[in-house]
Amino acid sequence: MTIDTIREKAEAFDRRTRRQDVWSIAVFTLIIMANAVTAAFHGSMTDKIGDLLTVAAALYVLTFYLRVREPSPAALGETPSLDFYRDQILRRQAMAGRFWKVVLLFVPGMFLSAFGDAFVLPRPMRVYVIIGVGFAGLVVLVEWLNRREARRLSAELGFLDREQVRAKTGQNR
Amino acid sequence: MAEFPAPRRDQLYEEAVAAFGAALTRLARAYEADADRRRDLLQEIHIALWRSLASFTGQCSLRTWVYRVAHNRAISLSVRTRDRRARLLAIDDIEPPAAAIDLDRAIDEERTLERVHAAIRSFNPIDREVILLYLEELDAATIAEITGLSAANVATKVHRIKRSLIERGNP
Repeated sequence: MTIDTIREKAEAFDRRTRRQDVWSIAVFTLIIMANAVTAAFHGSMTDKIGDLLTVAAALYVLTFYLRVREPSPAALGETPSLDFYRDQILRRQAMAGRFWKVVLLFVPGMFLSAFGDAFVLPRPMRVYVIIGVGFAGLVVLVEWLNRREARRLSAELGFLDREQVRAKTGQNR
Repeated sequence: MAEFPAPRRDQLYEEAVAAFGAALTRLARAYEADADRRRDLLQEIHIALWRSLASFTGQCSLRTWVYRVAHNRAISLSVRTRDRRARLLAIDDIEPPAAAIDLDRAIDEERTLERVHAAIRSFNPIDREVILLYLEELDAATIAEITGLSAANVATKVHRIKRSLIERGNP
């Protein structure tokens, strides 16, 4: 590969990353603004609560996304591999099951916005029970998936922690 | 952080490739058995190196920088893409095979090398990196600087990994 090819590919990569960032931020900003406007000017109290919960969920996801971005190019050269590997595992751990947690975060707000009014009307008890059991089942499933992934990553982190202790103390096995 | 102007970055990149290009190719081969994935990894490493050199201010040697970028990029890709069922091994976990391979029959150098690489690929990323840097004839102090381990720890690891490779039938 020539240096021109490398430069071209690297610049294309940077452009793609910037474009993804702009799109992600734009989409979340749109979700936040649309729900905030709806909460301010339209709907019943249950709708408003639902919209505000959706705004909170979107804000949390946006800040999380900005926090766990890929390491900068400089970090690849500045960080010793042991620390870098540990950071990668921690990042992976933070991301583990995050998709499902994100889905869960949006469920209450969207549910209230969509069905809030119908929900507050008197309904047979079994409707409330089915909704409650369904949501609890979803939470349990998500938690189980998260814990399974967390166990695997914890084992790797434990190994790295032992390596770091040895690195700092100069102790050998 | 201030970035180097593009011509300076190009010059550094060319220096790095002239000095360590062959080592980067060997590293990619040791990380990836599949030819296509190996080519992709090598390209990713070169791109990461070029991008990173904008921030290189001589805070460490160019060699240390190049090896860190290469191994860190390979590690981040392997953390992201590896098969979750695959369990990476610490040296202590590796049992020697019941019947060691007869080394006299291992006359094909290419196949022997591939077998060594296959064994190295089964190590956890840090052990893998240590032995690959050792095979590039770097001393313990330099390996320690690149990895963040202590020099004594590097020496111990190299010893154990070499013993493990021999027990598994690799020279």
